[in-house]
Amino acid sequence: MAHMPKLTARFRAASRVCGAVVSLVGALVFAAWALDNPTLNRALAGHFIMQLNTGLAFILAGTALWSGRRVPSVLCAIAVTGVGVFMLVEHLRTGSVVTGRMEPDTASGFVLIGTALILRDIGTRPAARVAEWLTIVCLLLAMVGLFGFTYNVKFWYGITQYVRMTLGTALSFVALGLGTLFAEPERGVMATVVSDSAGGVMARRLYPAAIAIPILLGQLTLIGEGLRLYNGKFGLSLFLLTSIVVFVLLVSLTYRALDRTDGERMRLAAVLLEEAERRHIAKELHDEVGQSLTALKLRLQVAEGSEQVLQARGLVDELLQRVSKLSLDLRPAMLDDLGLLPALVWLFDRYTSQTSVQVQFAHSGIEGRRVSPIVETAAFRIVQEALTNVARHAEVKAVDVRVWRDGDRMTVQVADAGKGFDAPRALAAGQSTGLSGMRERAGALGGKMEIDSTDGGTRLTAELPLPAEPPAAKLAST
Amino acid sequence: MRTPILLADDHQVVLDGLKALLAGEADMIVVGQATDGLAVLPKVLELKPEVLVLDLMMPGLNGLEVARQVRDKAPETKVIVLSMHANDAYVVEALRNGAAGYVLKTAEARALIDAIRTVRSGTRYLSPPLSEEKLARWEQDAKAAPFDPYDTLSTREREVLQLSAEGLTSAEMGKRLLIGKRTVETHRANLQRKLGLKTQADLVRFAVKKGVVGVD
Repeated sequence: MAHMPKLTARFRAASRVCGAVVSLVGALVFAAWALDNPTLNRALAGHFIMQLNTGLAFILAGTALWSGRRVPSVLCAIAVTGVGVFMLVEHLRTGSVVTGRMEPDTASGFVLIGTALILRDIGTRPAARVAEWLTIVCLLLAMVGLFGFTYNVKFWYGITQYVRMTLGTALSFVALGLGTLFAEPERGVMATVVSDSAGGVMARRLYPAAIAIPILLGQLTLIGEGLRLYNGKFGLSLFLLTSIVVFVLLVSLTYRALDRTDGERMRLAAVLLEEAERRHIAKELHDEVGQSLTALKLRLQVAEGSEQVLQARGLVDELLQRVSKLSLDLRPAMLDDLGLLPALVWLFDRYTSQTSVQVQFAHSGIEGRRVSPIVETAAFRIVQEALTNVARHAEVKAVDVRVWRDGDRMTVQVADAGKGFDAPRALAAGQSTGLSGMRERAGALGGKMEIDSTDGGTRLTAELPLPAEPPAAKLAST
Repeated sequence: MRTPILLADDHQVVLDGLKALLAGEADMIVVGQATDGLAVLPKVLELKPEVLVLDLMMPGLNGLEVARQVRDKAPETKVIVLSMHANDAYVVEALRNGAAGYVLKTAEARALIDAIRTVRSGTRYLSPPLSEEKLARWEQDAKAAPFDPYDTLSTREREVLQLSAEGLTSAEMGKRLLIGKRTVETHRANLQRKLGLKTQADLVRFAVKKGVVGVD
């Protein structure tokens, strides 16, 4: 299971942003206190008022996320945990609510997230796992607080006599929790989100939906009730119904996305499997059948030259030629033995003799140098397929083939001055299995293929990234 | 004097056939055989044959590499490659690696005997239909032919090159070409990479030299 590098980087960046925002919120609390501005205080009053120690803990926890360095991060995390533990102990000792002190659920949140951040910085696998669970519990705690506000439910006030965390605190905890999860995108639950597998496609679609949609629908239901469009029971059934419809739709959309990825993978697997089979049969024909025929031929040579023997010699010669040709048609052995350049020269020679289309071949950077066999095969097959298309549709006397290497990629280009065709439509309609096969080959290597077709001709370009060069990649003879 | 010959082929049936063939020649004698690429050089050093008949594709070490080692370590032994591969690329590779002769397994069996006599006299041997002219043609075909990188640009990239050299911004080009600004920038980056142009000044200079834009 590989990770999508860009997405992984984005999550890491998001993690630091979350940290920075939380630190900023903490700093704002201090700013409001220091300024003691009545307007600001009124704006913050109610949902956003926070204790100074809460603000301090947020600054520290946020710093642990955005600092990106281990030592400051651990120190901040330890301090956050310390603040939380101290406040909880105070609550247990006095056993009552004291105005102006950090709320117990806020203190628990800091203990959870602080410990999670410490464990994250320890970095071992079990530690990371525990850290993830603590983070999730913290997120749930924050969401309980959040829902308490969004639904204005008095029930939650009832289960505890304590003062509850404010809306600002709850939101900050959500940001902290997400930031902590995003910080290590290759681990735990996040690994499924950044995975490039079909499972990853599903996780990316369904996780956000599973969290956001119920919240959104619940909110809409509440608004409807507030406007007195319907009563509570009707609202509940409406909520259920819309949830069902939305999720069913989502599953069907996800199905399509997965189905497409899966289809691409299957076609590619088929292409690669076919290549492997061709290689195997070509080799078998060449090595085993060919050698046996050679032995037979040598025997016949020594045998007495009767009419029968002469005929048999002729038959064996013909058979040898056929086996050799068949083997080359399946997969030219020089592609494996000698590399792309000789295989292409052979291909052009045969192509010209079969189609009378001249190939003007130009190349740079590939002579005497081998690259990865997968890239060589892909380049060869793409050129071969493109030439077949040219012979079939372009109505030209000559075609240009260029192969060049620049840096870490190899590019093949087949250009003709012929009739041209509607490439995007041909590709979309899947009319040409050859074209889509080429594109999939290129795509599978992380490259791309473009077709630029106008009245003035068609130009097919495929860029294939080269894997890091092995030390002994040069041909023995050079 | 009989010419001592070493046979190297991973197929016993072929070896037997070769032995039967050469047994009929009064001036040749098979002194040994090898069925594995790695075993060839030690045998050559031990038996000092005048001619080594070598299969191109052998397990252990392929024939090209074997030929090269024999050329380096036992230059007095002449190597004749015996191969199913009629492609000139193989012949060129074999000769580059020090082979003195190349005989196709599809050729007349007599060709091998001719080859042994020819290389013994110090001349290169290629079994028909191979020929020196064909090899020369192949090398010509495979030679690195320089090409104008401008030819590799797509229609879009040429348009972007021209407009960019005329001094339009990405946004203006996008409007003119009915594509997004980002797409214009991608095309521009691609064409700069293909042409090896680093700066806008390089780009303008190239466009002027190519005659894509005029000089004001």
